[in-house]
Amino acid sequence: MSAHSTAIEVRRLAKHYGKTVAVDDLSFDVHPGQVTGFLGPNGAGKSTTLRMILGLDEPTSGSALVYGQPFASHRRPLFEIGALLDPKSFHPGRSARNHLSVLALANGIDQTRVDVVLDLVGLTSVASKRAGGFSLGMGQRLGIASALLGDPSILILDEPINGLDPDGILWVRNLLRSLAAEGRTVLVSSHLMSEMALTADHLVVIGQGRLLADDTVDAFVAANGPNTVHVRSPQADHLAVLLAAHGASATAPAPGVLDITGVSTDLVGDVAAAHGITIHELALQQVTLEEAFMELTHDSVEYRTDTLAPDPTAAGRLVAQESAA
Amino acid sequence: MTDTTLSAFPSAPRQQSVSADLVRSEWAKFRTVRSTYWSLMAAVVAMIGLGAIISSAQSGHPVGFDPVSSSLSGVLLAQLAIGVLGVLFVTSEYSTGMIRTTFTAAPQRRKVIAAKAAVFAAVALVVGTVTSLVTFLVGQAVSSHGVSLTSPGALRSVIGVGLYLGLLAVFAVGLGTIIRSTAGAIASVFGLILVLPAVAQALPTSIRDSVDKYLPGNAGQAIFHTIRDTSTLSPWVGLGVFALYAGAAISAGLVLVGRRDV
Repeated sequence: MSAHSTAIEVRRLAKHYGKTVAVDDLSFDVHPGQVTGFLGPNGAGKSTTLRMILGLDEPTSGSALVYGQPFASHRRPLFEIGALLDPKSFHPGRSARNHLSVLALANGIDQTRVDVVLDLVGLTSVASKRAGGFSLGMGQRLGIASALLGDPSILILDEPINGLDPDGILWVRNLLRSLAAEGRTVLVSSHLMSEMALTADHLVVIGQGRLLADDTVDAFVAANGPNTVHVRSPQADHLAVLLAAHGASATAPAPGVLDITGVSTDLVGDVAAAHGITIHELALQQVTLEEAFMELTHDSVEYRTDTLAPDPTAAGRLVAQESAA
Repeated sequence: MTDTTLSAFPSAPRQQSVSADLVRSEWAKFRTVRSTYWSLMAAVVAMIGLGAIISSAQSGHPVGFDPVSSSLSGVLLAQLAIGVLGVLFVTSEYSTGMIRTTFTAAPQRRKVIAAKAAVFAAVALVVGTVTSLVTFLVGQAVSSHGVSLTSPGALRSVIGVGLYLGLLAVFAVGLGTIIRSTAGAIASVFGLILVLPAVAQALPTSIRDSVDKYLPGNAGQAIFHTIRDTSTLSPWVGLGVFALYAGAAISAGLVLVGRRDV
C-alpha cells in the first residue's frame, strides 16, 4: 500500500444510549501525514467516537478499525496509537515519572523513553512531583507525553489545547504539525474552529452524531459560504450598478461601502479602473473556518439557546460563546 | 498492513508475554502511591498491636481461652485495611480517569484486572503471613499462657491468616471491579464480611446455625480458630468456601470488565 493508506477507518459507526443517539451512521477515514481536525459543537459525539476508535466503548453498530483491525486486537497498542482523552487521566497521587513508567511497563517500552517524553513536553523539572498538584495545562502535557511514549504512528488527541496558555497552544500546534510532517497520522478533536484553521489540513465535521463534512480545510471554507469583496468608494452606488451587469450582488452596509459577492477582487478593480471610479479600499473577506462551521452546524447544535436568534450566525455566535466558556 | 511510510516507526520489539508486562505494570502502580504504605502499615500495626493487647489482657482467664486465635484476633482489624486497599486498587482508577489511560495502553482488560488481583493477593499473602508470625510470637511472649508454633493448630492458624488475607484481597479486587465506585465497593466488602453475620442473627435458630458458618467472613476465619465448635466449618473447608466467594467475585468482575464501556 502507498503512503496514502488509511490509518483509521470508521464505517457506519453508531452508538445509542437508550433512546439517545450519540453517534449515527458515521463513516470517515483518517490518513497518515496530515493533521485531521475532528470538529463539532459540544455534545456532537466527538468523544464518544474517539472512545469507540480506542476500544473503550462498544459501538451499537458499525466498526472503527485501526490499521484494519479493532483497537482491542493490538497487543501493545502504545507502539502504534497514542491517545489523550482527558487532561486528568492519571492517579493524582502518582508522580509524572511514575505514571509514565507504569504505562511503559504495560507495553514493554524501554524506560529511557520516559525521560525522553518528559523532556519533550517540558515536565522534566516537575517529574517527581505528585501529578495531582498539576495545573490543567501541565495535565495536558503529561497526557501528551503518555500519548508519545511508544513513539506511535497514530496520535488521537481529544481537545489537547484546553487549559493551555498561549505558549502552550503554540507548542501543541507546532508539535502536531511536525508529527504529521514526519508521516504520522494525527487526529485531533476540537470545538475551536479558529485553532483548527491553523493546525489542521483536513476536517471531519460532525453534528448530533452525524457526518456534516469530510474535506480539506480550504475546500471546506470554499464550499461553506461565498467570499465577499469589501469595497469603499465615494462612487459606491455607481460601482454597484456596473458590477450588477457582471452578475455580482452587492449590499451597502454603510454609505460609500459595498460588500459584494459573486465576483473576484480582480474584476472589481478592473471595472472601477475602466470607469474611472476612485477606490479607497478593496479587500477580499474570506469566510473564516469559524463562519463556515457555524453555517454548517447551526441546525445540529444540541444545546442551543435560540430564544431570539432566527439568524443562523447569531445562533452560532451564542454557541461559540457557550463553547468557549 | 505493511506500509513503507509506517515501517519507519518502531513496532513492539519484544515477544514476551503481555500478562507478564501487565503484572509488572500493576506492581509498579501499587508501589507508587502513598495510600499503599499507609494501609499496609495500618494492617501490620493493628494486627500486632491488638494481638498483644488481647493476649496479655486475657492471660488471667484461662478457661476456654484459645491462646492462638486470641493472639491473632488483630486480623479482624487488619482485614479492614486490606479490603479498602484492594477496592481502591481498582476503584481509584475509575474515579480518577486513569482507567481509560490503562485500557488504551492495555486493551486486554481481563488480563489487567487479573494482574491487579494477582499482585495484590501476593502482597496480602506475604505481608499477612509475615505479620501473622510476628503477631503470634509477640502474643505468646506477652501471654501468661503462651504456646509454641508446634502446639496443635498454631502453625496452621499463622499460615491461615496470610491465606485468608490473600483471598480477601482477591475478593476486594473482584468487588471493586464489579461495582467501580469506591464507597459502594467498600460497603459491599464489609457488608458481606462483617454485617452479614450480624444480620444472620435475626434468622430462626434452626436455620441460623447452618447458614451462619457458610457466610464469607465466618467461613474464611475458621482457618485461624484452634477451638472448634459445631457453629463453624472445619478450618480448611471454611477456607475453601471463602475461596469460592473470592473466585466468584473476581470471575464476575472479569466478565463485566470485558463487557462494559469504560
